[in-house]
Amino acid sequence: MSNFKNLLFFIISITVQFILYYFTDFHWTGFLMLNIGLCFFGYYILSIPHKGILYNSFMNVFLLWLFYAFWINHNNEGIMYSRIAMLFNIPNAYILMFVQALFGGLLSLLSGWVFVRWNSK
Amino acid sequence: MNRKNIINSLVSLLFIGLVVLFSIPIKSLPIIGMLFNPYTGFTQNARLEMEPQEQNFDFEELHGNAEVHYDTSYVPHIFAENDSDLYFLQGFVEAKDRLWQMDMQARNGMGELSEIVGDVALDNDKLMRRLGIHKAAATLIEQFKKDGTLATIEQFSKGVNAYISQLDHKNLPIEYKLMNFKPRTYQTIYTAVLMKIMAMRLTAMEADIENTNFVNTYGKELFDKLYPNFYATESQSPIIPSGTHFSPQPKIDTASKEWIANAMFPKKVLQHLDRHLGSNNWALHKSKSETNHAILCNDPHLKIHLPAIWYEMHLVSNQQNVYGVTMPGAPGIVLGFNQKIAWGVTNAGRDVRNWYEVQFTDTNRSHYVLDSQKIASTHRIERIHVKGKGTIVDTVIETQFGPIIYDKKFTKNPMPTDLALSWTNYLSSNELKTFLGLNKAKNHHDYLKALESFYCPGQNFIYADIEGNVAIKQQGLFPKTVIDKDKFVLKGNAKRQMMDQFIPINENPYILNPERGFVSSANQHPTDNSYPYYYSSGDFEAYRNRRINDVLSSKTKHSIQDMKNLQGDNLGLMAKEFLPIFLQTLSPKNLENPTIKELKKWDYFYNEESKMATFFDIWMKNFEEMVWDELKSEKVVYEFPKTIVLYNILKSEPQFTFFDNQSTRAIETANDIINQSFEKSIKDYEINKKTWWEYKDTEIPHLAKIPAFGRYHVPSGGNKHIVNATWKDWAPSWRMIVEMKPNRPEAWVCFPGGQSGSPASKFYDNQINSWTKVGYRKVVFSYKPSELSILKSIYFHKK
Repeated sequence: MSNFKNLLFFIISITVQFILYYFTDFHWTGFLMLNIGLCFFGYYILSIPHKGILYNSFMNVFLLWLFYAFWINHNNEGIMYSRIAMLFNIPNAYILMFVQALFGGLLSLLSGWVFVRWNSK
Repeated sequence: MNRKNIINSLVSLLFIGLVVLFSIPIKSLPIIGMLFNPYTGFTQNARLEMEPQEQNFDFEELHGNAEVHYDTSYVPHIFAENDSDLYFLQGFVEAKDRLWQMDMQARNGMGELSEIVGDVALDNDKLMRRLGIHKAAATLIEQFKKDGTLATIEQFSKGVNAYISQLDHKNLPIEYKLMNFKPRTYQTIYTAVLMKIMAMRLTAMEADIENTNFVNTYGKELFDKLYPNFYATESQSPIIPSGTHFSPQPKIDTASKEWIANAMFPKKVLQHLDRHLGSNNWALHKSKSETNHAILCNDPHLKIHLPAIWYEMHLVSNQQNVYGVTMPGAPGIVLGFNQKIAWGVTNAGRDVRNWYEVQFTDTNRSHYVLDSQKIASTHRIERIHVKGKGTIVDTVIETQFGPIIYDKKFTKNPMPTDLALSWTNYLSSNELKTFLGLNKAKNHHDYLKALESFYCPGQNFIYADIEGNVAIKQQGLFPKTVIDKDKFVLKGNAKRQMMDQFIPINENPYILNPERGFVSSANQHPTDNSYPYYYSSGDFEAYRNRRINDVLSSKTKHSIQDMKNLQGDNLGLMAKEFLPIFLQTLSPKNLENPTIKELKKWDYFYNEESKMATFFDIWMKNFEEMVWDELKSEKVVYEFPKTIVLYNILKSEPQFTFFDNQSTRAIETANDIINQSFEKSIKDYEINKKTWWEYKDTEIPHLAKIPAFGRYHVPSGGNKHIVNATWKDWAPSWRMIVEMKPNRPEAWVCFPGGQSGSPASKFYDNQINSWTKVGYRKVVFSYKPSELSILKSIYFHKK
């Protein structure tokens, strides 16, 4: 049951993150605000434990960003990612995608941690 | 506060701190959070390349429906019902593909770059404000109003703004995200600024300051010898063939030596633009063409960059059907063809700028002396907003001669005296009207009529039509002056020194269907010395024009392939002339050097893989440096005489005093210098024996010098003074060959870059590889959309 709830929470999180960003012109920090909102939803509605909240905070952004970047890069034939990798002295487009996803994932994890810290007994 | 709350607060602070850190631009870095978030940053620029194949837009400004179809080379073909909609859509489409470039060009000309890049651009902004580019543009706008061209620019600007208004932040061109600024409303004056900037690049070629230093050091006689008005007869092939009859030449006076300023001008002050800019154009009469149709060729040479200088378009309305390239930010087509005529340009290079040393009577420079009278100057206050530094105020002093450009306050390298600039770019004219007129021209009469309003920069407008006619006219407003008045910095104390008389437009050099069957130009003298007016240039070309005219004269008829070969011609005429003399002069010891064997086999072609082109280039540079060692002063600025002048002196006067090396006790002659420069060049060359392309190292940098967005180490042949004028960072910026078939003209083109301004696009630099090999793409000059292979379409409707 708890696995199902975790999975459900993950699917809801990644879908909300995708839809709201994809169809709107959000500020770059929007995903962090969204994640905190999702933490409230997961913790208080789905009763996801803190560990699950933290895990979800990292994974929903990390995976979404990674797959989105991969998809865009594939369709763009690697042009933009190669140039930006060169700009930041990153060896190749794939490492750039990983760095990008890790950047988003870690910030999201931090936002989840803030939630957890203020919502623990 | 308990321990838990402290930890909570610290975690929260860390989170907020990181978010803030990634939300602010630190120094010149972009906003990292925005850039790396794939929904706001660079990933979105890649996503934009996945736009749907069909898009629809509704705008109130439109009068009817219109369509834009991008062909497989990403060239937009705009089909509108009327011209008003056509120019609106042209603005929309140019902004869609080149918005950031348009914005930067406008900011550059307006002197507003510091606002976004900080004080690195402050000297540039000061120079632009002092030159008064924005002021000249305002004058141009007034002329647009009078001539009725303003409506065109207004529609164009509305189109640009229609694009900007629907642009989400995430869809901004990547450079805005990296440089952290936003597009602003496009104003009509930006188009005028673009035209004035282009005029600046093509006219700032004089060497008045260097010439003044020379004449004040070595005297007028030596100056006339080393910087002659006309080169030796065999070293020139003017645009209007020698021997063409002009009206009788009245005697023209020479400027008095007393007019020339006495000052010696320091080296570091000058903000010199690239003087090597040039271009080629030629057109074959139908009788000279294998196809029996006139053929027109044009390749303007400019400092190349990415996004590309030019943007290729096809514009169709009920009033025109025109194809070619425009400068992003300008309506209409600048170089191209329509159903009846084709046209192209090269730079005239004539001197249209005079410098004056103004004598102020007081330290505030409120008055200056003119014909023994005290005249009040006006002070223009320029406020330059500098990113991170606030507002910097520069006072520009205006005199009857023009604005003071150089003075003690200009940069950290001050000019000792106050120098004012007189320039035809300040006069009222309407160059845009010319291009819009050419876009619709149907015949030779329309072509001449369209040229009438074109004053600055002087250009060689070449023409061909479907009847098989060809013509060329050097068009511009050129000063009517006494000999030498335009070559030096003049004392700004008398009205007679002013630039206030001009050669009548109808007396500009012009020829229609000459006997030789072709017209051509490559920045050389427009005429021989029988032309009834005096003129000069800081940089008349002496090689490309002769090669072009030789090749065109060598056959009775030429094919399209011949024209392609000629645009890519790598023969170095300079090497062909100098090298035999060099080889004859070498000592027996030097002749034994193994490089000589290779050099003797060299065909003088600057092909990519040639190593002898590299060696000769090194040798020639060393030779010139050694000959003109007298002019290599650390403090005072001089200009080396033209290579063609050196060639003629080398042939006729090998004992000439300048051949002596100043750093030795012996008296050297040309022979000694040739041998010494050879020995030095062998050492330089043998360090790595680079091929020509490796040595030349052609690059196409990004406009904002972002390395990842430029192309470097581009293999290519050619050189300056060669028809294929591909040098390090300036080159043929657009190659066009048009065959004027009566039922429908055909054209072959290429340019160093691509159609898109986005570094995320495969159309950003996709034409470079073909361009370096002088490859061509046949254009699709369609009369209706169904004739196109369509990559994507945008449909526009009236709201």
